[in-house]
Amino acid sequence: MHHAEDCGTTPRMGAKETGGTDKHALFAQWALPHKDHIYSACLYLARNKDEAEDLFQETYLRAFRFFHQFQPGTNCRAWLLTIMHNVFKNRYPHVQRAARTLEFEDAEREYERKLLADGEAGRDDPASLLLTQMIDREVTDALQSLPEEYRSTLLLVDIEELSYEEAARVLACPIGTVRSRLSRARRLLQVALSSYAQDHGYGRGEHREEAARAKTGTRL
Amino acid sequence: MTCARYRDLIAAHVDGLLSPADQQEVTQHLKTCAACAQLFAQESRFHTAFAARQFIVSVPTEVERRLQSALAVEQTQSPSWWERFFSLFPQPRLALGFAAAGLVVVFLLSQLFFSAPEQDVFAQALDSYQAVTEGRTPLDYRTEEPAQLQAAFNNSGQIDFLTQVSDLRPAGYQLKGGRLGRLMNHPTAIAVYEGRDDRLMCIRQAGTLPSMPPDMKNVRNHYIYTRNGCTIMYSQFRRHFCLFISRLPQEVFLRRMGIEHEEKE
Repeated sequence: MHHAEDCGTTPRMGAKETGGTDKHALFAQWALPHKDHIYSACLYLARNKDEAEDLFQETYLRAFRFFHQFQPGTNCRAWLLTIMHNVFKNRYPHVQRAARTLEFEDAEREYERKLLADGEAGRDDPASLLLTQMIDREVTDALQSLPEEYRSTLLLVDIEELSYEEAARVLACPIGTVRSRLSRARRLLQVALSSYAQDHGYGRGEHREEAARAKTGTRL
Repeated sequence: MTCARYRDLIAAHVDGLLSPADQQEVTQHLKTCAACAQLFAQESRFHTAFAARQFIVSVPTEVERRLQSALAVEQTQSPSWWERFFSLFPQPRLALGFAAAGLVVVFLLSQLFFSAPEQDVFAQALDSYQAVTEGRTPLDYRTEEPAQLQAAFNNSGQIDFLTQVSDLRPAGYQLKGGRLGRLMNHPTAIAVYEGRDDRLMCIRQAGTLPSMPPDMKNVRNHYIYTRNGCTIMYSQFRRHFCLFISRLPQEVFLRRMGIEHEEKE
């Protein structure tokens, strides 16, 4: 696993010392290079593309407005992700998180039973195989189906490559919570992939036609 | 530790981020628990497959163009005060919590410094009224002449304003005397009157009442309300205020004092 020591945050001039066009230039130098990462995070966090694009733009506008608060030498991507997470929480408060989590708990237990049975029978891991076969949109759908707190943790650590400490700061929770949520999130993703595969005929050959149709479209 | 607790550590174990002590404990458990060992192995394979996928997508040209336009506009503006306030907190809920806590503190302080004294001033005035009318507190001066009592008060050197003593004989109240006291820790001149069916007390103190109960009625610039079965009338003068306290009902008292009963909503 790669973590974010390489986010390029050693500025030649501190953000606090600047103003006007200097601010714009520094922002372009330090914040904008992370735009693909932030945009991707928005896509996985939001429920649809329009929401994601709004979230992306709002995140960058806020980051620009408060760029003087960015601490040179710290992880700029983590700083941007913190802003994104706060904007997301403010804009889209999800009131049904607990219900969704409970919904997943039964499926998770069932999946573990199946996994252990497959192992005893010498069959391959279904989720690992599925992950190599599925197209991006299918994986994205599975990711987006996770309850928000698990999705955020998985997103920050496994996709955005933040350290556990950085993810804990972004989510404003203890590092132990990040650790357990991440374990759970990875299991839930396997459950979601499995369930998605079952619904879409993976393993029966039906998925290939669907995948071929989907591949002609956009990635997300 | 239960299997469920070990499974919470799967991610950190796979990422190699467990503390040496936890790592040793997990490794030991995996040697003895086949189910956990299989789940950990599966997790490891799944994570390898996950890491091999490309999840980062490029920002579409149109989205980037919109962002650049918005940033160009933003460069000409500065954040509002509330945005600056909210930006001080890592989580918006913290900012809201801080603001709510601030409001609670302001409310409590306002209760402490404003409402509480208002409650106390009337409570103390009523206590004083009961003590005087029941004879528990003796009068310092006994006279039926308002001018004499007024002079005695103003010459006592114990009050910090020039007080008056009203002649209420036209209203049917005969002055019986007075005393100097303290109300809300401020010097007070108290005059006691007797009517045919009522004892009346008039308390005067420098300054003004900080605030009044919301149910106080304004009757020709006298504020009147009932508390503990007593009628209290508050009148403000240039340098001092006056509280009349009587056991008569409001309407009877107002009529007796010659104040027409005209309520202002």
